[in-house]
Amino acid sequence: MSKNLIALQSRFLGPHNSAYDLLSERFEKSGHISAEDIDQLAAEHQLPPQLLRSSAEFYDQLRPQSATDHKLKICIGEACQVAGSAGLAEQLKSRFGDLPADSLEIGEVTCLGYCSSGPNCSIDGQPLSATTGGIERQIERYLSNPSTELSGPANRCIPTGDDSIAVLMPYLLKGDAATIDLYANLKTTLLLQTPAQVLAQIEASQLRGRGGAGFAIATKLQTVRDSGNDGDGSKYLVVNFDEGDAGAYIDKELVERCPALLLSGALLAAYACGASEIYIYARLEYPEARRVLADAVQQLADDKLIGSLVAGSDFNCSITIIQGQGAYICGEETSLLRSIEGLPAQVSIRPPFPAQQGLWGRPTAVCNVETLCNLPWIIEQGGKAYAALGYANSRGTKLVSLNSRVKQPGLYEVELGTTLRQIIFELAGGMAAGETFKAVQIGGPLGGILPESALDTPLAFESLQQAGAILGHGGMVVYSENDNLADIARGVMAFCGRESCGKCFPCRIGSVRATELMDQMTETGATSERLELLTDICETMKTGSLCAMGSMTPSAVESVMTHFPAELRGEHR
Amino acid sequence: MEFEPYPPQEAGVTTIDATVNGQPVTVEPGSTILNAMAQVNRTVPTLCYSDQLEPHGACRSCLVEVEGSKPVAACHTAVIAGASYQTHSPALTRYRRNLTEMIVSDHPLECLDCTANGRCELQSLAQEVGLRQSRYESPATHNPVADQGHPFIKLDMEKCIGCARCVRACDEIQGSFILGMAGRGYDTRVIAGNDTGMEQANCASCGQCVTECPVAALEEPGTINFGLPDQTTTTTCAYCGVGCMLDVAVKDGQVISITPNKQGSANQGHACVKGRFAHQFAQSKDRLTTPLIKDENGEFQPASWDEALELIARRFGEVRDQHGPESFAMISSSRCTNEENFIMQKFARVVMATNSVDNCSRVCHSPSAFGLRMALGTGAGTNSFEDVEHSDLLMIVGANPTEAHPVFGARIKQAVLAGCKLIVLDPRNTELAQLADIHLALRPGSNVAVINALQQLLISEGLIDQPFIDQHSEGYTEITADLASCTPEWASEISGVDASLIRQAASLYGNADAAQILWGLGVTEAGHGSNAVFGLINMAVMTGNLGRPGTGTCPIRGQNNVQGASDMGALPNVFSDYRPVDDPIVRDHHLRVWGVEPPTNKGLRIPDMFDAVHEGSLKAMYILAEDVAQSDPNTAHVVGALEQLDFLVVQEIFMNPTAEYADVILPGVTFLEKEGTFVNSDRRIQRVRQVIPPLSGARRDGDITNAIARQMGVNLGFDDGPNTPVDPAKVMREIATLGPKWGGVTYQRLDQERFLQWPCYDSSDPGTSIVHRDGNFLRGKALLSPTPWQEAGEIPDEQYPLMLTTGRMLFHYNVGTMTRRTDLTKLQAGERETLRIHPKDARRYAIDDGDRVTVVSRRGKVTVSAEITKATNPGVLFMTFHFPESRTNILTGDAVDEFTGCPEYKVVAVQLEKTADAKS
Repeated sequence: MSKNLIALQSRFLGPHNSAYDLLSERFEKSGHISAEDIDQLAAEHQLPPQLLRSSAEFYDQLRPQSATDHKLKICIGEACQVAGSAGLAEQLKSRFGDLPADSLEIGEVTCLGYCSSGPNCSIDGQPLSATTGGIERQIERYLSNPSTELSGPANRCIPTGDDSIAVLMPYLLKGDAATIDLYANLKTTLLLQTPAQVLAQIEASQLRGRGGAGFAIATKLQTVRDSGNDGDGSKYLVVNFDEGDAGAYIDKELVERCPALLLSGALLAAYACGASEIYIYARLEYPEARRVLADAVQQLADDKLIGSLVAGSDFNCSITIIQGQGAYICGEETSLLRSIEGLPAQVSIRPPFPAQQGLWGRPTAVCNVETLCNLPWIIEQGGKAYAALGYANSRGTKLVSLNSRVKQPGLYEVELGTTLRQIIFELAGGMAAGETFKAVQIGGPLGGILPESALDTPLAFESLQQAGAILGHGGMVVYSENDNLADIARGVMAFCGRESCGKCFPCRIGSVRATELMDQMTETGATSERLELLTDICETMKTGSLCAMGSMTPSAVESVMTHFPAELRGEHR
Repeated sequence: MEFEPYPPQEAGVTTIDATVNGQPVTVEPGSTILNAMAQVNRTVPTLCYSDQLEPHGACRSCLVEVEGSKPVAACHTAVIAGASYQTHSPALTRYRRNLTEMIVSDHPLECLDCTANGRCELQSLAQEVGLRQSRYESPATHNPVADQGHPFIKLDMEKCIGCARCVRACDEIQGSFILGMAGRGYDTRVIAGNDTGMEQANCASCGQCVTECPVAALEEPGTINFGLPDQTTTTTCAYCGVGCMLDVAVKDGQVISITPNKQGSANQGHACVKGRFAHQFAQSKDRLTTPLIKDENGEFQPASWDEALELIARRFGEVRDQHGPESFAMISSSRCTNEENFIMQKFARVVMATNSVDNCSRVCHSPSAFGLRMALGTGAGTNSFEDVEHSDLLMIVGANPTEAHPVFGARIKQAVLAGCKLIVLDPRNTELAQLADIHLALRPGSNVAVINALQQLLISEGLIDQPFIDQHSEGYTEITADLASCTPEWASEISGVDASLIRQAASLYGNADAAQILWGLGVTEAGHGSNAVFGLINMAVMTGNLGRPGTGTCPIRGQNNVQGASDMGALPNVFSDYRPVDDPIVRDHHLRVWGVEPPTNKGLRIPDMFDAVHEGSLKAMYILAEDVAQSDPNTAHVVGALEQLDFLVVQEIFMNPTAEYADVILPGVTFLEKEGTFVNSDRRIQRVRQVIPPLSGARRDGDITNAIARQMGVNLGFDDGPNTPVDPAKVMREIATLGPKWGGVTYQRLDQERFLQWPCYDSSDPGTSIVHRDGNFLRGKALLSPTPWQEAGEIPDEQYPLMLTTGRMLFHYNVGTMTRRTDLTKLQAGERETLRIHPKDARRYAIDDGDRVTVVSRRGKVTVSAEITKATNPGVLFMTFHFPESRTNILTGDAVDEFTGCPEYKVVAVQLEKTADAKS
């Protein structure tokens, strides 16, 4: 990361403004970024053209390209892949492929967050599902009149019926009806409790981060509180709402259904750690969630729950929503921070950790949406009540999202420790008609793939790790006997080749080499030499990579090598 | 996903103990494992690491094992107390081999014809880990994109391994931000600018990216065309006053490449486009290789050295004996070594019995040297380059270091980006002015008014350091009365700068903990330069910003050895080490050492010399490596004088406009062909070492002057007998004998310690980085001097309504003698002179970009192309003086500083005429 480029942006754009903002604004205005835009912005703002170019090229949406009226994107995430994205792509290309490129561009996207009803696509960002029928007709209508209302897919939130473990589900079901209570409780807390008291409750809850890393949230907030009490004392809370794992739509549903829950949680966390500015980094592919969130933030401002002296307390806090521009790696915390700072969002070395030196070099708590959504309940019910739920070192509950391979795909809240079998076969009703269970991948593309024999593993951080998987963010993609796992694993490697930040060598090169090798194995055989090389690539990526993307991408390949070796030879049932 | 624990934060820990390969190490907190390894003499492979750059952590080849945890990268992981690290193991070797195989799979395997063969870091890594073959079957590689458009920097992306060292060098060292890593994933690549190629991207061409490249993705022509050198010699750059230490590579007697020396104290492993790439002039075909004597028809005829020396000795002797010492004058050269300058002034004083010897600092920084000597006691900058890293405020006045002193400029830029506040006083929107917190874009010639207002505000706003003033200065009461009327509003009226900005600047300066003032020729050559210098020194004295790290008052010197030429006494009023020629003790000292009574006449300064010729009292001159016909102001006046001389000897490496008027031209040599020393801008004495032998037919400048003395029957004492070369070490011994502040300087020490900063009184004195420590001024007490405002000699009027100011650009140097004979001319930016004009003025005069325009001053006119740019301000035009065909100094004037005779190059009233066939 370049401190100098941050300083330059601050000097020429003012503090906390960035090249990323300039590019995003320009995109909003003209629908695409051209090389000329970059020259023009650079000249206008005295910034190095290189900075704007390299920042722009990092994101799918900002990459310099020629203008097009409409973009049709077919989801190639794992859930849609097994639900038939290839067929959908073929169908749509044969129907719309003849339109000129400046009128319609057909491309790909990884996950729109409707994994319960794949395969999906989006037209100008708006989701459509092949399962709802009439998809071609809808696109046609839209193309002839872009103000046409589209009928898109929806995910279901399915209560388990056990209210004793319901922490988040009630909010998901109540939606906006929960807002008044949430904000009333928030006000009370800010007025009556000290940050230390709030922190103590969070600590007592033993809540660990739900974004994947599972780090103790109280420790993170405490570190921010204790760090960098020099200079202007500024500290930040960054909400990581860049839920990029294919198969996960947990944060999306939380935000869309009950934005006040996230905002309450974020304000509580900011209060606890001493942050006075909250940045919510919201995923590009979730336009509806961003709209809902923006309205909710506006409502907070109107209600004077953000700004100075919130609710009559001595707490000052602002909330800024930053729109992602299409880069999976921005879900990695340092990448996300660099993105906000306007740098090409390459991962940074750690330490220093963001909690010590994060956004603009200041202490920053980067927290996942679901993690923060737990805080209002914890403050209201007490940390102990939360810690009473759960399993081993994984306390509380977890939302899991299931794809359309199961009978009742949707979002479930389970107590940590619930087995995978219970989730898939009891809660979700088992496999969809005509499908036989083969495997489940948990935690997105970086998660391992577990066979039937591992289904009694409790859903928890350590137990899943021992089983060769991860809890990750809790997205579960169930595969049936019809699904080609070698394709899935290859897809994960190829995904990494595209989505790697490009900095560390093992991730950048290894992912592409592994993809090529798996193609060669399918075509001309999985020889022992090739298998050994594939193992070596996986080892190198795991050992050497700078962040979790590179070190965990091999998980799927390794799972297939361990549990489904025949599939690597192109044999799948 | 695993998470890494937050490292324990223990307060007050000063050392950390751990083990590497079982051996104990003790390091400072924050020290990396890679650093700790040095203690047990072990290294691990690295590709993306460079000791010049921040750790990056991309290549992952430096991983080491830690007991109880997964492997960590040694280059960016701090040592943890009690940890046990293992740098080598079978598992690590296997990991590194697999990693190397992976890297090599994306790299051409054509080592034999690769320019980096034998010095490629990837090749070494493959060798180290025993990689013998790649198991990858036809791996896809990147599209081979080659950017060969830049004359010095060749980019071959096919070989790039993506370590970003070039990008980081461009950022962390040069601060140009031309290179970047663009794209994502496997397609991540190095780009220049908006992916336009290096030259189009306005690259400053410092070459640091080439230095950092571990493979051959970035190369320079020298390496590409010639391979490995026969030998490499470390010497000091002969361009600007930064004093970069350079490694000059020679093959078959030819300089093939120049790279910055990592140990160079002034440049810290950095160089600029001129020092690094502009060396071809030394081997230019039009070098002078034989003495030339003008015949009765005015034609130069080749002559033998004997003929030439005999003629010169006879004519010099005649002039001296017939017309007296007043009839002879010398101009010594800031481009030549200290030793040569010392010989020159000794020649003047001992052989010609005159004090009329001067050097080009007269026309650049003489007010700085004068002001600093009068006010503080030493004629040089008070602090050192490294002080910018300790300053919390820099005030840069009339200087454009990112172009004129690029390596120091880059360092200033880094300091500013790291948070140091910056005030710039300059009529132009220089790169640093654009970065500044406050830019006072004053009208040329109004420096003193603004500086007076700043002084006045420091006093009236209570920002002065009264105890410091009381204890360490004199003259405070005297100056306060004069300054009282110098309100910011008054200065605003004169300078055109907002009064509120002047107030802010004073407040910023006065409230800084450690503020440093740096200035250039925009102070000294811009009307009443000495008063401006006095004013700046007053500001520092009044606020106690002297004698501490990060403080000081420092002129940024323009020429490689302009400080040295003055230090050596190539000045009419002082001997070496600025010892006054009229001081009886000093005279006696010189009598004892030299064996002759030093001259008593009042020596002539350069502008006086030309006046004296016109008046008829000066008959003969000896000019060493100084193209006065081009570089001095008011060309017509100078040329008239040269024409009128009875006898003129010019010692040069090329024919030039001054030499045209010579009676005898003597071929000297370049810095690459001689031994000696230079003094840079911050008093750093550094060795100049012979890289290639003197060009056949040419002689070292010191040898030539010495030979003339010998021919005139005088042994200056530096050779081993007639017809033997000067021993520069002998000269240095005499310099050390006669100059107390050089008392500890010897060649042996300079070779060992690489540099010494004077004052360096004796062999135990390490030299002085910061002069006047703790208020102990060499003068005793600092002198605060009144700085009355006077209008510059040139003021605009109805006929000449615009102000022209002059200066350097990055890609050329002075009158272009050297740079214009190098590949720098291949750079678009260095093609030709332009008149920089603000869009507003361009509109007013209906001038389009590229139009031919005639610039007319009260003295002459020149015609150039217009370049419309916001780098200059409305009403202010800018030209360089690098281009002989446009001769900018035809325009410049006679007005000089009243104390030092320094001319006002920076303030010329002009008008514009659009040339009839304007479109070129």
